Amino acid sequence: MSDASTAGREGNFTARRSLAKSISAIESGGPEALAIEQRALQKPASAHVLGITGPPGAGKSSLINALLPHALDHYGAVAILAVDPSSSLTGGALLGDRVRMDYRHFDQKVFFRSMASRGYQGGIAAATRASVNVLDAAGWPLVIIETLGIGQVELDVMALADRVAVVLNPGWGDSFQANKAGLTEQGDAFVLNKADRPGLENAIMLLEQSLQCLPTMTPPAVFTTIATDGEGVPELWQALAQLMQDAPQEQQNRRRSHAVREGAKTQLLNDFEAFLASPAAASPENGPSDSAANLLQRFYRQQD
Amino acid sequence: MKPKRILMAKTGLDGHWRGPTIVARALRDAGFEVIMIGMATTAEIVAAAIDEDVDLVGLNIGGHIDVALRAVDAVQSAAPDMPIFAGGTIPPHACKQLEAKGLEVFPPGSMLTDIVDSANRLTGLSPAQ
Amino acid sequence: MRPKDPNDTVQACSDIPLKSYYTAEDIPSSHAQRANIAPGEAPYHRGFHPSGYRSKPWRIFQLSGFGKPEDENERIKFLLKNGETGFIMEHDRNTADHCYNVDHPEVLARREDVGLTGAVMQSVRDTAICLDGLPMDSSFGHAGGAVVQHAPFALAAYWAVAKKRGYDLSKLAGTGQSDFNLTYLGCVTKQQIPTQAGLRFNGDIIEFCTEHLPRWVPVSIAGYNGADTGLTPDQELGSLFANAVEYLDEIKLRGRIPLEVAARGCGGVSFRASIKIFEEACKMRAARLMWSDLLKERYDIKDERVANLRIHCVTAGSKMAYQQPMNNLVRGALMAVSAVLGGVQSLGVSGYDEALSIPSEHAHQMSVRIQQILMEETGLTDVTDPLGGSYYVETLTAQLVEKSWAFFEEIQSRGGYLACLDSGWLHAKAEENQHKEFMQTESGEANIVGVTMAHDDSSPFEIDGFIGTDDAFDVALERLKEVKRTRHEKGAKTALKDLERVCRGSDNIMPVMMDCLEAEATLGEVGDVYREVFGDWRTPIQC
Repeated sequence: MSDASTAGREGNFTARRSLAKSISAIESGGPEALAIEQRALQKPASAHVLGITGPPGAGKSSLINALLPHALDHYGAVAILAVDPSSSLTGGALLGDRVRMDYRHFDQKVFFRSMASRGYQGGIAAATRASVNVLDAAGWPLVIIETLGIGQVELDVMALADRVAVVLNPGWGDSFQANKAGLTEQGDAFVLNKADRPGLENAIMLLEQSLQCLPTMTPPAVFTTIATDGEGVPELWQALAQLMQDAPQEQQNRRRSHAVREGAKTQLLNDFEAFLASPAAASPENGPSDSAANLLQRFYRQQD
Repeated sequence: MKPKRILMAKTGLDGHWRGPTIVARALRDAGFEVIMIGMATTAEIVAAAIDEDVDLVGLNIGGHIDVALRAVDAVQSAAPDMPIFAGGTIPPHACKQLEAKGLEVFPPGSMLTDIVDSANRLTGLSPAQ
Repeated sequence: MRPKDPNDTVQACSDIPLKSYYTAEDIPSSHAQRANIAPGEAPYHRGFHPSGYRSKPWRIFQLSGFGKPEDENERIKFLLKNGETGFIMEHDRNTADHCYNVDHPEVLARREDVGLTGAVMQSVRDTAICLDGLPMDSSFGHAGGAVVQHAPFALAAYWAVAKKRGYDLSKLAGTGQSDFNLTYLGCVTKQQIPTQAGLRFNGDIIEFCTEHLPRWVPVSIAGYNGADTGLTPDQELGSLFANAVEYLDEIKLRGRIPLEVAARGCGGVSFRASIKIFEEACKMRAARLMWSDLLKERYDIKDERVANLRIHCVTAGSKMAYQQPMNNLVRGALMAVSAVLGGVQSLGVSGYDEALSIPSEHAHQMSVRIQQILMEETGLTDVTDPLGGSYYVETLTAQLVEKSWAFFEEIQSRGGYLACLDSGWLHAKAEENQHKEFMQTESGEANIVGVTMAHDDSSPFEIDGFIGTDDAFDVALERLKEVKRTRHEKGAKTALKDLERVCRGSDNIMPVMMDCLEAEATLGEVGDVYREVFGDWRTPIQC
C-alpha cells in the first residue's frame, strides 16, 4: 500500500497533502497539470475504476456510502471523486456529496475529493481523468467516480471507468430518458435505488425492456437497493466486484491511451492558443484573404 | 481565475442549518466552491481540509468554545498556512479567544457582504487589509 | 420597514399586501358575519372562553435547564419562586436529541457541549434528581421530549418518577411535545428514526394518554420550529394543521379510540410569537378558527369542547439580536404583547441573551417579569379579544385563514405533511424565505435596530454568554457507569429485549417504555434499539 494512503496517521499529513495538492494543480490546468498526469501515466495502470452515474436525486452518494464498507473489505483502500455542477452564472458551486458519507468509515483508507464541473460538459470535471490517473499511480486500488447527475448525455465517465453502474429510482420512466441518454447501451449494471418507493415493479419491467433491445448477448443485470438501510447492497457489491474483476485488460489500456490522447489534445490546444497570441499568427498580407489553411500553415511552420 | 474552495463544517452536534445554508449560498453566488460537510468532529474536519485541499476553512460554531478551539488547533497544526474563519452563536469572550488564534469571527447580525469580503481576502482574491 | 414612498406596497410577512388604513368594507364577506360574534362562539377566533384572562391568566411557562439534573432543578425552582406558573424540563441536546449516552463517540468528541443546552438525563435516576421537590401534582410540567425520537423515553421517565412518588397518573396534568418540526425541519439531527416510525410513536403516546393519563397533553405540534426556520405565518399555520391531520388520520386508521378524544389531546399546540405585532395576533385568532373548521368539516366532530385550541407561545428566538442585547427586553415584551392580544394560554419569553447563549439567571428572571408586568399592570387582561372588530385585524385574520388553507391544500396535494418533510419541500420553502429575509436586511430594505442601524461602536457588549456548569459531562459519565453497575442487569436487559420486540411489532410502545425506565435502562441503550429496528431517516437536505 502506497505512502499516500498510509500517510495521515499519527498526524503525518505531508504525503496526503501532496496528493491533494497535485489534484488541485490538475484542476488549475496548464502545463503543470499536464506534466503531473504524464508522470503518473508512466506507471503501469493497476487501479480498478468504477463509475456511478444517474439522474440527480437517485441516491448515488448514499449508494456509494453504503457500498464503501464492502469496497474497503475487498480493496483495502478506496478513493472517491464526486462531481457536482458549477453555477453557470457565478462560477461557484455547492459540493454536497461528502456530507452524505458516514465519516466513521473514513480512517485514512478513504480519500474523498469533491469536484466542481467548472463548465465541463459530459458529466464529470475536466480534471477527473487526470485525477484518476494520479490516484492510480499513488497506489489507490479502487477509484469510484460519482458523476454530475444531470441525467442527459453524460458519457465521459465511460472512457474513464472499467465499469459503470447506472442508478435510477422507481418512476424513472416518467422523467429520465435513460435510453435516449445512451446509458442503457453503456451501463454494466443497473440499480433501482429507493426501492421502497411506489412503482418498483413497473420500473424494473421498463428497465428490463429497454435493456432487452440491446444487441449484446446478455443484458446487464438489474439490482434493487435501499441504500439508506443497506438493503440489496451486499448483493450489488458482489456483482460489481465480479464485474471489475472480469473487466477486460483492454479497458484499462483503452483508458490509458485515452488519457495520453486527451493530454496531447490539451497540449496541442495550449500550443495553438499561445501561437494565436503571438506575432507569428498575423497574416503577412494583413488582409481579408487569409484562410484557416494559411493560419494552420503558419502554425506548423512555427512548431518546426 | 480558477474558483477558490471553502470548507464549511459545524463543530457542534446542533442541527440548525439556517445560518450555514445562507452563508454557503452567498459564497457560491460570489463564485466560491463550497464543500459542506455538516456536523463533523475535529479529525473529520482536518481530513476534509487536507484531502479537499481547500483555500479556506469555515467553521459554524455554537456551544462551548473549547470544542471549536480543538478543531482550530488541529487544522492549524496540520496545515499552518490554511486560513480559518468562523461564524455562529459565539459570545463575546469566545470571539476574543478565536480572534487571538488569528480567525476572523462573524457572530449573529454579521452582514453577508462582510463574510464574502473576508472570504475574498483570506483566499487571496482581494488584497489583505 | 418603512416604504420609501407611502404609495409603495407594504407586505405582511405572509405576503399579504397591507393598506394604509382599513374600513368595514375591507373585511371579506366570508368573514364579515364571523367578525360580529362573541368570544366563546364558534369558530372561536375571538377565544374559547368569554371571560378570557379574567378567569384564567395565561401560564408563565419558560424553557429552562442546563448542566446536571440538579442544576436544572435549581433553575426551575428559581423560576417558580420568581413567578412562573408551570415548568419545562429541557434535555441536553447532544444526548437526548440523538438518544445517545455520554459515552457515544459523537458525544465524546464534543464533551464540553454536554449540558450546555439542557440537563443530561440518561436514566430515571437523573429524572428523579431533576424533579426533586418540584410540584408535579399541583403545577403543570412539560416533561421535555420535544424531539420525536426522544419523547417516549422522556415521558416514561417523568411518569415513572410520578408513580414512584405516589401520584395518581390518571390525575397528572402536564404536557409532552414530540414535535416533528423540531428535528425534521428546523434543527436536523445527524441521525434519527424515519418519520413513519415517529408517527407510530406519537399515535402510541396519544392512545396511551387517552387511556391512562387523560389530563396529560400527549403531543404538541410546535409551529415555532417551522417559523423560526423560515416558514411565514400562513405557512406556519398551514403546516401545523397538516401535521394535525397526520395524527388524526393515524388515530382514525387505528380505530381504537374515539376521534374526539384524540382531537382533544391534539388541541394543545405551540406557536411562535414574532415581532410583527398585529400579524402575529391575527395568526392566533386564525388558528382557533381553522381548528374549529377543520374538526367540523374534515372529521365531522360535533363536540364543541374539542374545538378548544390551547395555544402555547414562545417569542421568536431568531429576532433577538446579538448587538445591544438590552434592546431584546423590548423585543421580548412586544412579542409577548402580540401573543396576549392573540389570546394564548401559555407563554415563554426568550431571554435577552438568546443570541449569545442559554439564559442567565437574570435574563430568565426578566422573561418572567415581562409577563408579570403585562398581566398585572397593563390592563391587557381586562377584555377578551380586545382587537376583535378592528377593520384591519378582522380583514387580516380572514386573509391569513385563506392563505393558510391554500398552503395546507398544497401540502395535502403533495402527499401530506410527513411526505413534505421527507422530500425536503418544506425545507425548500423555509430556505426561500430565509434567503428573502436576509436579502431584505442586507439591502437595507428591512432594519434591525442596533444591527443594521443605530450602531453602538463605543461599548462592545453589555453582557456575555452564560456558560452553565463545567462538570456536566464528568458527572454524567460517572452516573452512567453507576447505573449500569448497580441496577438489576437482567431486568434492564429483559426490558430492552421487550422494547425491541414491541418496536418490531405494532403494540403500543409506552407500557414497555415504562418498564424500561423502571428497570433503569439508559437513553443510549433505548436509542440503540431504535437504530437497530428503524434505521435512519433519509435527510433531504445537505447540512
